[in-house]
Amino acid sequence: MKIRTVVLAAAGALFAITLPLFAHHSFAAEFDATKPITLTGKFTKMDWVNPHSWIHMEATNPATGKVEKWDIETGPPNTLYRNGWRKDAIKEGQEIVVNGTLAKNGTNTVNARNVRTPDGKTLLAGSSEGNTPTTPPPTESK
Amino acid sequence: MNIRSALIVAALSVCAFGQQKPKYTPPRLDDGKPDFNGIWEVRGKVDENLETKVNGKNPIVDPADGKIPYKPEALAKKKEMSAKRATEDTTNKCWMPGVPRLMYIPHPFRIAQAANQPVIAVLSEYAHVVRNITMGGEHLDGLDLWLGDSRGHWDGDTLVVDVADFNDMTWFDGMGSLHSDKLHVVERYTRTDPETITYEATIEDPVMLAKPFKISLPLKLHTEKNAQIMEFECYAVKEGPTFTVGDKKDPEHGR
Repeated sequence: MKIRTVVLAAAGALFAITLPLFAHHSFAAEFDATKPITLTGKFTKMDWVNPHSWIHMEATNPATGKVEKWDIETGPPNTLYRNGWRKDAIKEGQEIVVNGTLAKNGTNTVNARNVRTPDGKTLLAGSSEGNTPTTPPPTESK
Repeated sequence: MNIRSALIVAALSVCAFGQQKPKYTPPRLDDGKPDFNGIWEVRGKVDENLETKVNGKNPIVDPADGKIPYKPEALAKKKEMSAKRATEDTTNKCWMPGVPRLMYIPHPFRIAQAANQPVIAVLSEYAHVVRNITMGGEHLDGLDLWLGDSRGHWDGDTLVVDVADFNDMTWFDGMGSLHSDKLHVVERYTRTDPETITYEATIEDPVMLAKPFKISLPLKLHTEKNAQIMEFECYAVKEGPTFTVGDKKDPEHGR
């Protein structure tokens, strides 16, 4: 049983590595990989739209200490769905924790890696940031 | 072991060492053609930058440096577009991605094929793009198409698709890799194991490229239970509490 579990886990890990991530747009052009950010705050609403879905929330800006509005980019609805996310996963006013990367343009825009909901679940956001271990991040054109 | 048997063992080992993997025999339709039906998708972030190694391999196999062989003036234009790619990448505007890009954007597609039919259809999840591969016949004349005009034929068990009549609006990847309307693509689809199509494309563009280049990628079958192509209507968000995505991206081309 244990060996079987380990084998299954290993197979799962391999599958996870080879699964495609949503990455069609230029993460490096819009987001600063050196600026990871964690936001804890109130979920306002979500736009389930293509090519990217958006979470809107209010959270304290670590830079100013003030509660501000934030726009959180995630993958498209189908990617979220395939990651196990459903449209009622988060409700208005609920506290969520977003892990992601800050935009380069100085606005309150974040590309989400994952979102933690009040029941302790972590939803993968289909980030366009490179996080497949086998795939190096794209090189910038000089 | 005597010398004779040692020699035989050595000879057999050499044979085994030099032996290639037996050629995969694909499932077939009633007309005897290889069956490409299924939901397929590239693995890894090929679309983001065609010139970057994915899973340790260059998507571009010719030239050997893995770079698109642009003419100098075209390369300058590519760099200019690359700098503006956050707003100018055509797939951020929900435009059709062109060919070959459609085949390696990170969205699954279904190949729908039946015996003795004049068309093999590629039903992409991205922005409900349908690509018709017409079997045989001549290219259309005197018009520009987003996906080009696809004409298929069989070379043994390989589906060969000649694609021409392109517009100049699409890119090869997310790095500003533009082309002209003289683009000509020849694709080869070969089933190389039960879950893989080896996809090759030779890309010519006498206006932009110093010479043709060739890509080679594995397309993988979606084998998970209930795999399906889902709806993907694509448009820029017009409203948001702190900004308007439509303004930030391209309000004219949202749809």
